[in-house]
Order: sequence, then C-alpha cells, then structure tokens
Amino acid sequence: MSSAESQIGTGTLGLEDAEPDGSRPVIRGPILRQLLAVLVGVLVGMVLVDQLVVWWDIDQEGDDENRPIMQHEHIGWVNRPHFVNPEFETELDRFGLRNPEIPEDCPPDEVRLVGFGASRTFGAGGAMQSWCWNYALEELLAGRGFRVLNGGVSGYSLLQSCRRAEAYLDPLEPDLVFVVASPGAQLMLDSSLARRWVRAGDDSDEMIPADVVEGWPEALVPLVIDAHRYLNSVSGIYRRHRAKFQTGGNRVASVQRWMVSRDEPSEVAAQMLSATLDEAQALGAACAERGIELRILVLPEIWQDSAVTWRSFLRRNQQAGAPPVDTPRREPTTVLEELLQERGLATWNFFDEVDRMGRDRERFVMGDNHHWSKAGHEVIARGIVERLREEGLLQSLRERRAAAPRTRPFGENPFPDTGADGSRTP
Amino acid sequence: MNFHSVGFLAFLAIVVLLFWALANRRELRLTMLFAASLVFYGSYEAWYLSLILFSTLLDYWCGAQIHRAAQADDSRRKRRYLLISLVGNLGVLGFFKYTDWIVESVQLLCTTLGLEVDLWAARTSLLPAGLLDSNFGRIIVPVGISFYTFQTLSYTIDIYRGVLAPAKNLRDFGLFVAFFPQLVAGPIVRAIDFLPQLELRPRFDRQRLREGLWRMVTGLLKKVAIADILGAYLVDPVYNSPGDYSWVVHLLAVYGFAFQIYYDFSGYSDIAIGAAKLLGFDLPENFDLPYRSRSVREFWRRWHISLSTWVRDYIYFPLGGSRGSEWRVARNLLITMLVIGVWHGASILWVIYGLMQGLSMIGERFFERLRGGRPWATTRAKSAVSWFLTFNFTALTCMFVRALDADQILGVATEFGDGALGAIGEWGWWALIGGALLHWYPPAITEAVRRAFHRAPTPVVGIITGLAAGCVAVLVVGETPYIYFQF
Repeated sequence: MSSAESQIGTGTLGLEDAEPDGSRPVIRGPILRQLLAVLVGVLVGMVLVDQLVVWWDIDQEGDDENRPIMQHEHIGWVNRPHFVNPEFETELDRFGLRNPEIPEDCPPDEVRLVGFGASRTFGAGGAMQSWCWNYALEELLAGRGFRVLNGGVSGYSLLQSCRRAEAYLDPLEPDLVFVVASPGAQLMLDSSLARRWVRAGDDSDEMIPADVVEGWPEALVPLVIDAHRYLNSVSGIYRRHRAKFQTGGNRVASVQRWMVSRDEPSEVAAQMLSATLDEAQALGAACAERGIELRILVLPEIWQDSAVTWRSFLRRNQQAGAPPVDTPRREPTTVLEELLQERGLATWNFFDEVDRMGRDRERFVMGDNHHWSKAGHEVIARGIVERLREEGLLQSLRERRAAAPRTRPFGENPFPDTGADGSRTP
Repeated sequence: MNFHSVGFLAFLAIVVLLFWALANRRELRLTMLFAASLVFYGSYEAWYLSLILFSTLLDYWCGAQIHRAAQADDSRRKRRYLLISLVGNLGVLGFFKYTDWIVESVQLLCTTLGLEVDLWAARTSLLPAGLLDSNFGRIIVPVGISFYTFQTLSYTIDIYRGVLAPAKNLRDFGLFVAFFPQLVAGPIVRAIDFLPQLELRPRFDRQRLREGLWRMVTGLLKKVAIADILGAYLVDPVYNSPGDYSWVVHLLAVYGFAFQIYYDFSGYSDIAIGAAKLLGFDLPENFDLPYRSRSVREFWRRWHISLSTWVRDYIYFPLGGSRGSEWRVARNLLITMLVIGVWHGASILWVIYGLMQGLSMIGERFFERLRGGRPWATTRAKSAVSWFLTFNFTALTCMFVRALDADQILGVATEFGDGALGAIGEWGWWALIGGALLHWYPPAITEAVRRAFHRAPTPVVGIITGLAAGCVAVLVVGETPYIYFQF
C-alpha cells in the first residue's frame, strides 16, 4: 500500500484552526481507533509476558508459601522456619536457622554457639548447608558437647544481625554468640527505604514497604495500597521489580562502595555507622546481662583478599564512596575493630585467614567470586577454634554451662511463619 | 524519565492520544506538545528548565535580531548578535561541563609548582549548593545540555548565514529546542529541518504508525536485551576488576563495550525517531551500521551522524574543509575531531580520543595521497583487511570512552588474571554474539522482519509491541541510564 493510499482520515469537520499549509482537516475517529487498538494490543502483549513470568517464577521458586524469607517490621526480613531447598541441602530448622533441629531431649549442659551475620554466615553462592562454617566448627569440636547454630540471613547488615541475635538470646540461651561484621557498605544497609515497613491501616496487621506509600497524598494512600496489593498478587513483573528494589536498596551513591577507614565518613555514612554501632553495643549489653559471651568476627570484604583486587576496588569506586586509593588493605578491618572495641565489644579479626584464601581463590571462593567454598568455610572454623583455645573458652564455657544447665531445650521462636504472603508480623 | 521505563511509555501514550485528538487544533496541539516536553525535561530536575528556557529565549531573541540586521544589511550588528548567542550558549555549556575540569587542572598545576592554594574550596564557596552534586561535590551537568546547545546554535548560525528564517513565534522555537523525543540525547536536529514540519498538518497513516512502533520496539530491545546485558555481564566486571580475567576476556570486553555503546545509543536514537514518528515528525537518522566501515572517515559518516554532520557544517567547512594545503586540511581534521572529543566530556581521555580519531583520519588521507588518490581496498581481501583494521581501531579507542581514568585503561590493557572464557556468564555470551550477528548479518533479514511487522493487522502490531515492552520490563537491569545522557 502506498503512502498516499494509506493516508487515512482526511476530510472536513469544521471548527478547526487553519493550518499554514492549507491542507484539509484530519478526521480523527479512525486515527484514535487505530491508536486505541495499538494500546489494547500493547496491554495484551504485556499481560501475556507478565503471566509467563508468574508461571516461570512459580516453576523455579515455588509459590509464596515456600519463599525462603518473610518480611518483618523491625528487621526487614527473616528466614522462613522449615524452609527447604534440596538443591543446596537447605533445610532450615524451626527457628529459621540453617542447621539440624535442636532435639527436644538435647543434653541440658550442651554448650551452644550461635553465629549471626549475612550470606557468608548463611552460606550462599551455591554453598551446601553442610559446607558452612557452623558445621565445620561443630565437627572440629565433636565429642566435647558443643552445638553450633547458623543464624545467617542473606543480605543482612550488622544492625539487622544484632537485632536478630538479640531476639534469640532467651529462646536459645546460647553460651557464646558470634556476629560477623565486614567493613564494607553492607555493614549498614539498614537505612534503605525499601527496608522500612508501615502498617496498611490503623487496625491492620498487614505490612507494606514504606516506599510504596511515601510521597502520595494522604487521600490516595488507600488506593495506592490496593494497587500495590493487587499488582503484588497478580503481576510477576511487578513482584520482580519490588524484589530487585528491596534487594538493591536505595543507598545514596556516596555510600554504595563505602568502607570503614581512617578517612572522615560523609554525614550520611557517619549517621548510618553510628546507628549500627549503637545496635551492636545494645546487643553487647543484652549478652552481658545474661552472662552470654559475645565475639564480633571482623571479616575483611572479599576485595581485601589480595593487593591487586584491593587496588582495583579502590580505583574503580572512588565515585561511589570508596576510601582513598592509598588506603592500606588491612586498614578497614583494623578501624572497624577499633570502633567496636571502643563500644566495649570483644572482636576477633580474621584478616589473615581471608588473606590466605586470596592466594588460592579457586580453592576457597565459589564461582560467584564472593562467597566461600567448603574449604573457605573450614578456614574460618579453624580460625574460630584457635581463638577459642587461646582465650580458654572451650573449657570455661563448658564449666559455666555445667554449673547452670538449661531448664528447657529451647523457647518460642521469635519469628514464626506468618502466612502465605509473609506480610504479617506476629 | 528513562525511555525504557513504564513511566515513559505511559507518558508517550497520553501525549500521542492528546496530540491526535487535537490534530485539527494547531495552536492547542503545538502548545500541548511544548508543555509535555517541558514536563518531560522537568521530570529529571525542575531547575534544568531554567537553563533550557534561558537558551530558548536567548536564541529566539538573537535569531530575530540577526534577521532584522540582515534585512537592514547591517553586518556588524549581525555579527554582534551571533557572538552574543555563541558566548551565551557556549558559556552556559562550558560552565556546567568544563569548570570542574579546569579547576582540577589548575589546582594540579599549582600543587606541582608548590603553590598553596585551594581552588576547589574557593569554587565550592562561590557556587550555590544546589548546583553541586550532594554526594561528590561536583557541578551537576544537566541532562541533554550538550545536545540542545548545539541545536540552538545551529538556529542562530543558519539565520546568520541567511539560509533560515526565524521561527514564527516563541512557542514554535521552544518546541524545536525542547521536543521531548530527542531532547536529552539527540539526534541533534537542525531548525531548518524541524521548523518547517510545524507548518504542516500532521499526517497519520498506517505505515508511519507501524514504522514508529517498529523503531521503538527495536530500540528498546537494543538497549535492554543487548547493551545493558553486555554491560552487566561482560564489560563492567572486566573494567571493574581486570585482575580477575585473562587477556582473551579483556579483549572480548573491549569489543563488548564497542557493541554496548552502539546498541545503547542507537537504541536511544531509534526510540526517539520512533516516538517522533508517532507524533507525525521525522527526525534525522543517527546511525548506519558503523562497524561495517572500512575507514575511520567512513565510520564517522555512519556513527552519531547528526553530531558529525553538525561539526562538519559548522566547524570543519568554515575552517576550510578539504580545500587548501595538506597541512591545512590536517589541521582542520584535527580541530574538528578534537571538538567532537571534548563535546563528549571534560577529561584528558576525551582529548586523547579526539586526537586519535583526527590523527587516524590524517593518516588515511596521507596513505590515499601516496597512492595518487586511488583507493586501496579494491579487492575483497583488501576490503576485509580495511574493515578489520577500522573495527579494531574504533573498538580499542572506545576504551577511552568507557574508562574513568588512565589507570583503568592501563588495568584493562595490562592486568591479566586467570578467569578464562568460562568467566563470562551465559547472558554475556548471548548478548555479545547476538550483538555482532545483528550488526553484520545481511540487512535483508531485518528488512524482511520489518516488512512483516508493517503488514500485520493493527492489534497484532500492538500485541508485538506489548510483548517487547514486557520483555524489556523483565530484562531491565536496575537503573541503567543511557550512556550518552552523561554527555
């Protein structure tokens, strides 16, 4: 069809402005009908892709009831109790911890160690459950009456880890709590908007991510919540975007690749760091009150594990808040340790262990170039045993527990499973 | 408002519907389009509007004054107003784009000479805080300023040259400057091509509708399915951590970036051209399969055509172009390519990039002269050699576009690790191979698909567009603005 033949909708309607080129007015009906046909087609096409995504996601990850994490008002998210993923041997216990269930008839004088932290504690990047350092540590301490629990949750900041650890102190009655802290920006992710929640209504238990409703006029908020709820329940694309947003957070650019160092932090970073250290100090006080030992395991970031990687990290991230390019590789862990110690917290620095791993990454680091392999987790476990020995904790913890055995195997889970969409807090 | 966002698609749908609903109301239609363009630009930062309005008012006034002076045969007055336009526009552009670079360079010089001055602090104290990036303290470069500055300059220069009459009113001129499909990253449109289109009643036909949608669909897929994936899975990992990858992966990342920037920018241009078509406007083409070029000169005739023709017409030709002695032509080429380099950004890397392009063109010209003006690539084998050399030269010089600093270029060029080909994810391979094939396979295949799209019934065309938009929504990798937005 030639251009002239396909020209549609010319004719006279009247009441129009005169065009400078003197052409006849356009009859708009057929044009608008075509445009509407295109729009309807676009919507149909998008819905088709969207439903394909819904089908694909259910096929790949299972439905809502089997998602590994649940939203939480104060912590952002927590592991779902009893979550199972055979691909990585993952079988979380009744508390959402990545270890075998604590038996009802466990010895009342068993010494209980619990590690809290993010993905390197939980064991991510394809690490099997039995590869994680809590398993390796329990194996190294086998026959001495120790149980080691894995309280890691992927993506956690130090603030989240501390808050979660505090909630488990009474139900688990641990003897020693480890909290893993690294000096990078993940240390203080918690201020992200996506990690704050608001109640859907005054009388409602339902939690809605704060960023969904922020910025909207009060009168429109119920409508926005309804739209969010609806899209979240039917649209695969919407859910993926929400998930991306929540995972990535929205840290300001100046702290995207920030690390603790002797360099003065920006105002934003200083506020976030201070809130994080306050939380760690609160956990320290809660542990001290209960007679529980607390050690903060200061682990370097993966890009501190060799001189080349460190230089490259500093160089490429100057625009994203990284410390100055001449910062010594050990400095971030040393400074973080000092900051924690200033708050009265005991620390163990694992720089040397991670440095050793950096010399043979293929062996100690998973293919994602970030998380540890089985051998990497074993290095950490051995490092912990060495320090337990050095401080005489192997003996003293057993003696203290023997003198005051537990009266119950465990208490209530502070984070029970909260339903299909995981949006209700207890 | 990124082109590959649901927000933009919804915005475009509303504007297109309104535009055609007002098809017979010229004043309302153009006013609505001007207002929509301002809303679009204001969605980045509201204060950017003050700059574009300043530029619009300045050049509208200068254009009118130049025209009046020409009618009065007053060449001194003509020159004066042209100078005001040049100083005003280039002054604003220079302030936002080059101040920090100049301050940094002078500070470095002072430090080297042992002078204790803190120019950086002085600059910061002199400028309003709102102009500075709150994270890094640098002057914010408003999106699209390089594009619309060149666009408005062409208007006053063309009036000065007597080839263009001034716009009939401020609204029409404002629409030419701010027309949203091409506002933030081109193509750079000349007033001589755009203003006459405002005088015509918009024509709507099936082919135009389909061509507009086709360009948008292909543009979106180029950006999201190729450029962004190449960036995330191949280019960024290597540039960010060169020590982790072997030299083969480095080389592939260098080629990968050449494709990434092509698909990113040509994807943007396709969406701009497509969106303009839906509104009844024709914008100039910006790319013509540049990596098929067999010389650097040919490459610049196929790459960012609207910029290269702009500098050709307003810089290269006025300098004397290809006339005069060889030295003079060489100088003209060098200056022109240097302007292209520095137009992109304020850094020594861009200066080197421009120089390399200019010197290679001079080299090509010299080689041709040695052969008495006869072309060398007369056989298929020689053609292939020419193509190979040109492609590798353009891909390697792209390192200067991608790298943040000279250290990063050195890192990619010299710091090799163990990560072999397997280190490139599956997605990276797909995007690299797909990008290369799409560029080099016979155009007849693309043309056949395009024709089939044109023949399809309207609802089917809509569904295909929706499927593409859905795929884009799924594939989109975080916030990935177009590379050319920074220029």
